[in-house]
Amino acid sequence: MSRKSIEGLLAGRMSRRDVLKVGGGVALGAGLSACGLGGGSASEADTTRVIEPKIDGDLVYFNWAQYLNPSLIKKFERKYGVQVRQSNFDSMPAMMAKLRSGNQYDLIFPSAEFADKLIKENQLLEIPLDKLPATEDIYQFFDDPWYDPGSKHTVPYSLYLTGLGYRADEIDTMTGSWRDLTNPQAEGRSYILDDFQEGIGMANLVNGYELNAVEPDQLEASKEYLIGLKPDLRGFSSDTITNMSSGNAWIQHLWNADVINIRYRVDDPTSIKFQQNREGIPVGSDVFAIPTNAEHPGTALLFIDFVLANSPKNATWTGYPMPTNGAEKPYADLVKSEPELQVTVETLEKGQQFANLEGTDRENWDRVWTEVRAA
Amino acid sequence: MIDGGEAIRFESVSKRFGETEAVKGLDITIEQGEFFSLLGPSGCGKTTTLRMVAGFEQPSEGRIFLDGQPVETVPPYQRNVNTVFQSYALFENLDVFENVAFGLKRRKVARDEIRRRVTAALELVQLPARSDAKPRELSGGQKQRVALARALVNRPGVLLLDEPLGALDLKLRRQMQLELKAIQREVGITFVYVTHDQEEALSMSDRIAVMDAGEVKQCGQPEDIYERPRGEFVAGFIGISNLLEGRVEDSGEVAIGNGLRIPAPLPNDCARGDAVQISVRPEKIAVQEIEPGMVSLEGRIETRVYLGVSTQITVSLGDGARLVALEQATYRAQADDRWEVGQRIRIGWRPEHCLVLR
Amino acid sequence: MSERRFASLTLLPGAAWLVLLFLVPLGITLAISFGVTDELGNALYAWHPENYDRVFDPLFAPVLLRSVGYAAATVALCLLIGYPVAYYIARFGGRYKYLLVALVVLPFLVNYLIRVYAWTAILSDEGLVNGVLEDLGLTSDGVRFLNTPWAVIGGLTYGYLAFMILPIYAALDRMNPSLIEAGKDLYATGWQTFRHVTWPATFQGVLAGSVLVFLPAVGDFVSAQLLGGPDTYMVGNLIQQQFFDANNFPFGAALTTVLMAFLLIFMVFYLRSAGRAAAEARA
Repeated sequence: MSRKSIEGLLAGRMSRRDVLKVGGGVALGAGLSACGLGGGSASEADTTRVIEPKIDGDLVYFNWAQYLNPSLIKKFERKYGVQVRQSNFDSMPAMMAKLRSGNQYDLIFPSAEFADKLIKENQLLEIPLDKLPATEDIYQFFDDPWYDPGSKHTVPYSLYLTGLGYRADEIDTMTGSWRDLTNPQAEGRSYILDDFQEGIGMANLVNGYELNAVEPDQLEASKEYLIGLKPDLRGFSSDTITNMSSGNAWIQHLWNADVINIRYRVDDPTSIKFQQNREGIPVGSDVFAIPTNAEHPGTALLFIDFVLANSPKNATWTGYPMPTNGAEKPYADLVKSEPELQVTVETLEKGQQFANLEGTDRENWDRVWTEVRAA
Repeated sequence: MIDGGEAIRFESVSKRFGETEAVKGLDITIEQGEFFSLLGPSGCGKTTTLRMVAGFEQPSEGRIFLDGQPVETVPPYQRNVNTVFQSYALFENLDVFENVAFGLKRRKVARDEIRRRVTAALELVQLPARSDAKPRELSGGQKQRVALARALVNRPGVLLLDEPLGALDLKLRRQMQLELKAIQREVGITFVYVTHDQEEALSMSDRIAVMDAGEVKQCGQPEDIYERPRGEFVAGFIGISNLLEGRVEDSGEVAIGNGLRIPAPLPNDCARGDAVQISVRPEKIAVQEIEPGMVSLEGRIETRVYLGVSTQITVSLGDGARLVALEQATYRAQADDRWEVGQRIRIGWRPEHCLVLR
Repeated sequence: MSERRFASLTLLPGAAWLVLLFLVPLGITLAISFGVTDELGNALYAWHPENYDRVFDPLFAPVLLRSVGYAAATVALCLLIGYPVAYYIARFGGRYKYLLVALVVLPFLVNYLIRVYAWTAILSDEGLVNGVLEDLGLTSDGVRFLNTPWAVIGGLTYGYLAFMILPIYAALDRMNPSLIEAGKDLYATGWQTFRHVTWPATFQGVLAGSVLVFLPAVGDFVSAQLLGGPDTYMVGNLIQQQFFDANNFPFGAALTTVLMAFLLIFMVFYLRSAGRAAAEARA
């Protein structure tokens, strides 16, 4: 097993929301130097430049590593005779830091929460959906998402939901509840995500509150729940794939696509199971977006259309469901043995999405998480 | 001064470091109270010999006896010997008093006694005023005295000194030689003294062992070594040059290369026909002013080197044989301008000043 | 150009480097530590010293204490492991001395993060160490190394061990070997010689090594993040969280400033001791 973990490390196929954000020292520096300058300078007029889906140069692409089927990139390059110049970020703050220090990208892949931030800062171009035929297939659910009213600046890219992964060969008493984290069969081998949103959101759901609850009393109760959970936990870790494939985790708070990647790594893939929890399901999406300072927005539009048109291939390669009608069936085939991994329109409607908390609310969440970790 | 008991005995002691044999078949007995020097060039095995006595090295073969007892199983810290190191090896973090008291403390001597003995030892080496100083505040000579006191204060059976004066300038060296000798007389401890300076060894020792390439070439009193060096190496090392190859004749004279017969006092074991070397010390050679009864030879001046109080002249005797003469500058003449290079002259010496070496 | 003038010119690149990459960020950090965040979470320059009140919230006392404790344990372990290694290399390394020193430094060619991450594989329940233990029949279901304080301290020790070995090695290498013989010659056993002779003679190296290990260890977050459990949160993690997750640059900067001030006290103490030793050595 240890051999496998090292192989995995070398293969670099990691969770999208990875994990090694400790590597972000450079980004931290960039963030620091840009600090105090960010935001404010752009106006709404910057976002309304008229752009057409036609080749206007090589594509400058900025994404998580291993988060898009590389064969699609090759095909796109061949079809249009351009190059896709790729670079990667390893966390959302790192992406923000790069943008704020003036780097120019044609296409970025922010989470819904960060898309909300960028739109409010007038950092994203309006995208003419009517000129992109493949957007026809996108779920209507995204016609007016919370983070982008009217869906003017973003195109949904992928879907995810948060639940519990577990080792079915060791644990046979899961109950479909978040409280399974303290299942005694796990003998203390359970981890929760090292992520303030997922951590507090989960506690809010367990306590019967809204996912994004901000009432001080409720946050206090969720904080107490999390602190009380610590003695039964092995750790806070977002390195879910290594944790489960190395046998350290028998129960792991994780994102659905991680399970697919864990299954690639273990001898008995069917022993890795996933459950959605009855207290509530956090769901979310990442989006395509074009920064206002993009030099080749035309190529970016063509690329968005091309990737959407090939959603099935992309979904099965990345392990993430894609929000188009065409991708649903191939993904369902992929997760036939574990249908709870699928994110359908019903799941989206049943689930709750994380809000982009601001001001005092955000501060309170941060404070709670800091206190949970420090306690 | 020498009370006759045996302090150290080496029995066929050899020491090898890998391929190199540092000491070969050493057989020496050092008497109690003796000032014994190991003299030789660097790499001759003298320091290795000393380190085997101290216990820092183990003999590859043979045995060493201290006070009659074999010591191969005795670690250094249990041997009744102390060492004065060439580098002094004073403990920088301790002051002079603490340095000297170090050995007594390890032996759990009572505090009052430590104070008394350390004070006495510092007085012995004439440093009583510096007991609070740290080693780095001392001059080279003072460090040397502390190192000596630190070893002597333990009243060891044997004191081992490894070129202890090597780092001092000439003047201080001379002074310390006298003091060391005086101290040794006063305390009566056996000293084993390692040096490469023949003058130092000659002036201080009761006996000297001259070593070369791991072997003892000659062991005896300074006069023996100086007046009757055995073999070329000892003669050379002790400062004797002017060697002429020759052969013992019936007449009891020695015939040298160019047919000259030189009368010389032959050692008892010399027989006719033996190949020998004769040697005359440069300062015993007279130039031109030959007196009656002297052996005299003719030669040509090859080089002339002005040395201040004297001038050194190399005289070629033909057949490649040459002798060096030292001529003192006197009231009569400056030695340096009496002779010209190339000039033919006569040199001579009294027969009893001629040494025959085998 | 006078020699003096030239000498001060040669300092220029280094000085520029220091100002640009050390003093400027330090100034920015200090400025931000008094700042606030706007509605969108961006840091703004302001006068808000309350950030510092929060640093001294009793809530964080255990985190600070834990960091100091882990770092102190790391120093102790590094010393325990590093001194014998340095001693062996300096005294018995012979012609392999420089090779051995190179081997000590070799792991530093690999990023610290990657090295610690590799330890997660080695220490896993089904990892290398447990595999060997199982083969030897010493355990059947795996010893839980990972996600414990011991793993964190182990990771820190592994990460910073060379910082301890090198200065001690240098001190031992500089030390006159006759001193050890002098100790033994003066009736000190091996242990007494070490305690009264070798240790004092190399103490400055030990001090330098301890400072070099303690400073980065106390602010480290990698080891605790990758090898730690729910209760091994260190001040480095706390700071990192403010910058990356909480997006609270001002509080993060205030924590950083206080931590640096705290470490500065150690540095001053060390520099004074080292300066005194150097002055004494010159005298």
